[in-house]
Amino acid sequence: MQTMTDQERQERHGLILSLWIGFASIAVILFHLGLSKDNWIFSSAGFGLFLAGFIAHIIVNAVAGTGFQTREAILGLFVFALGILAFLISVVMGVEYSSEHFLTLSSGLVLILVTIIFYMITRNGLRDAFDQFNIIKSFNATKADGSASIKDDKSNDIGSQE
Amino acid sequence: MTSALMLFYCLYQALMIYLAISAARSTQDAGHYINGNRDMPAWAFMFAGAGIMAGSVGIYDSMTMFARFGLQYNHVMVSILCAGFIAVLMMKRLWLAARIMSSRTLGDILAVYYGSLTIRLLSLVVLLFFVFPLSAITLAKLGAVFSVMTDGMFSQQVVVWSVAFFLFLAIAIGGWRGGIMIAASNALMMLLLLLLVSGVSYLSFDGYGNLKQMFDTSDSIRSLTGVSIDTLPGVVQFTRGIGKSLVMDGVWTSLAVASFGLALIGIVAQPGFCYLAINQRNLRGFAFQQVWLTGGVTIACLLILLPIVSGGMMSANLIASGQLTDLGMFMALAEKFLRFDAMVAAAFVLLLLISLQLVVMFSTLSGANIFVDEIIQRYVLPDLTERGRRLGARVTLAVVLFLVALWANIGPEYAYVLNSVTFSLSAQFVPAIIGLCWIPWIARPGVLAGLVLGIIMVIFTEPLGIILFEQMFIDLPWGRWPWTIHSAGWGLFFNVLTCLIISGFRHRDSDHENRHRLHDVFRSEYPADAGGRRVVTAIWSLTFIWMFFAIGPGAVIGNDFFVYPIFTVERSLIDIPSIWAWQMLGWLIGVLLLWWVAYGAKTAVGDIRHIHKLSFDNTFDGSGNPMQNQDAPSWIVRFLNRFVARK
Repeated sequence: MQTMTDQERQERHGLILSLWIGFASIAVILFHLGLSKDNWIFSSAGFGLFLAGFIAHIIVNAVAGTGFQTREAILGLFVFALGILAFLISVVMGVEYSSEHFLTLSSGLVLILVTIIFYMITRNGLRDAFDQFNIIKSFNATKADGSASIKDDKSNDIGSQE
Repeated sequence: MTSALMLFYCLYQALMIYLAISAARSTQDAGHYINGNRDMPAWAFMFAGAGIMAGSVGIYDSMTMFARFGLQYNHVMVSILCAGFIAVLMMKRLWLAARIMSSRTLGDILAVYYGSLTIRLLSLVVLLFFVFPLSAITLAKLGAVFSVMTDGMFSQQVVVWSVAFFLFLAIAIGGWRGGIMIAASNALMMLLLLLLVSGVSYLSFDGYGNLKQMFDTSDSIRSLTGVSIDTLPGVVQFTRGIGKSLVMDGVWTSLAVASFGLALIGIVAQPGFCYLAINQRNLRGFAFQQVWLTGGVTIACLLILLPIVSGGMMSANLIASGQLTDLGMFMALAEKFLRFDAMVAAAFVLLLLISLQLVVMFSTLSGANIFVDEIIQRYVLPDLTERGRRLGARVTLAVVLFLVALWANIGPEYAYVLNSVTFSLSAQFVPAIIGLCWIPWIARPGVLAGLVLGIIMVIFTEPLGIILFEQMFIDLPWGRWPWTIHSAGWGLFFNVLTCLIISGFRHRDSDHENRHRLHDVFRSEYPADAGGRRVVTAIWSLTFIWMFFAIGPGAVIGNDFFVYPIFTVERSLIDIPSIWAWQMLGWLIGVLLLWWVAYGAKTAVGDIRHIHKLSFDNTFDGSGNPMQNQDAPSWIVRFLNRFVARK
């Protein structure tokens, strides 16, 4: 990850924020339409917009020469987990989806997951992608040699830990 | 819908304030406030530029005009490419000229290059039209839309003052950097909202089916309203103009469309838009914005998506026998959305509000900052520090927004009259800018005479001049847009003709060496290499052929071309009106040509590694701000000294 000045960081943040405000808010309206009208087309358009936002984010990262920031990754995973949780709870609570709608929601969530994994593998390779979540390894490395944890702490970029 | 709309709008405003704060905190330096220290990122220009173009053409105005005139007005969207071509030709060289000549604004560059204070003053006059009448009308529309859509919960006055206050807050915090980032964010939001609204119209209201039904009954609509909604009403109609004689089947003849395209050039030739380009960090984003975002995405949205949404307004207006007001049509469409879903209805209104707000914000922000650069620092307080400039810009912004809000509240009808000339006046600067960028033999006397004549022609083919003249003297024999040619067309015709003729005689005047020095630098260090004279000829031949058939007299062929093709006697089974298909084809070919000019001929791309500074003999002494050394007329100096010299 190249070093960014405050101004460059803000410019990237401004663009990312502008993109996600647009994509996420319209996606939310589309999910609302999909659920209230029981229309799978709107729901799939919502998932499409989320994926478009994700791809736009990756393009911005590529142009700015950065990866996902830790806070961005945490927020993204939190929203994704919340989506899965909401879907599972609604199923458990007995919300009745039409078969097309159920398929759209479940395959949309799976598609997002597959896209994230695909991105991580293509950017970091299979082993490093796994290492991103391998907390035990870094914990052991910290015990044996503090250098690994120092390296991890310095990196604020999920995608650039080579 | 009211609560959803309030929630969306307030949340969105809060996010814009956040964006302004983050922009301000990243650059504590006061020098960033006025112009972003000429270090604005490419993405801000790309998105903001496209958004300003869409907002200035107007989502609001385009929808109401489509509802009244149908596809004949829709043809105007293809003519936005004229503005694209001019932007491609001038923005890169304006950016270079600003750095070569150490100038800050369009008026500054032209004044130094031509050695004329008059051009500087005229550019400021044009700026005033963007800052006051245009902003006042737009703010008044915003207030009216918000008030009507919330069932009068807030009066128009309250909305106008609240939005003006919010805009002041956001811009005063974020300055140029924050303001342009907000504009870029607004542009993205507009695009996505338009996609949502048109998608819902298409899928759920059968918006296109509804539109097609109206096209199928266009003859009966024509007999009802006197407007042909699916054909251009001829190449030209030799009428005395709107208000003086009847125009058959609608005013949007192909010459009206082409000349309106010339007026739209005024959007990119306005001092504010040039200020936006000049303050970019580098040339990255210029070509992408001009070709793909403006030429491609913006026109696609306005040409293809907007009619699908506006069809609902057209049908509501037809049901009311063409008696609905603009707001009445919007209400009818919003109710249609509301019956479907409150959030979608709120999204539709939000689209209108953001598009209007974007124009007000950009016009007032650029106006205030240019005013500080051009008037306050140049003539009133030359020794102003960076902090002083920032304070001056904030005070100016407050005054500008106060006056705009006041005007929007008390007399928007006068603003309508004045605003009728805004884009056309701005377009009159095109010969001067093209001369600066490409044609060294265009000389000051030609430019000035052309500008003055062009401005007179514009004013007297619009209500501003006609009303004033007829109130004071006698009735003029012509009305607005005689021969269905827009005022910009009349102005530019006489402007260019005068400019070329006089420049032909006066191009060897004493100042010609200065002009040639700049062009020598352009040629030697920043060449636009199209690949030879033959390629240049091919590019411009194809461009003029395209203009003739896409937006010029040849466009009337499109009225029937795809329904009754010339190579068969059978009627084609195409599912859309022929002229719409012609418009889409013209747009696609136009974008390809634009791409060729921008990228192929390298008029909008390039890798600038160093800037070759020039100092002009008649205005520069090589120290300090060169423009402060330019002689001002003695009456201005004496007038200003009354204030400045007083202790």
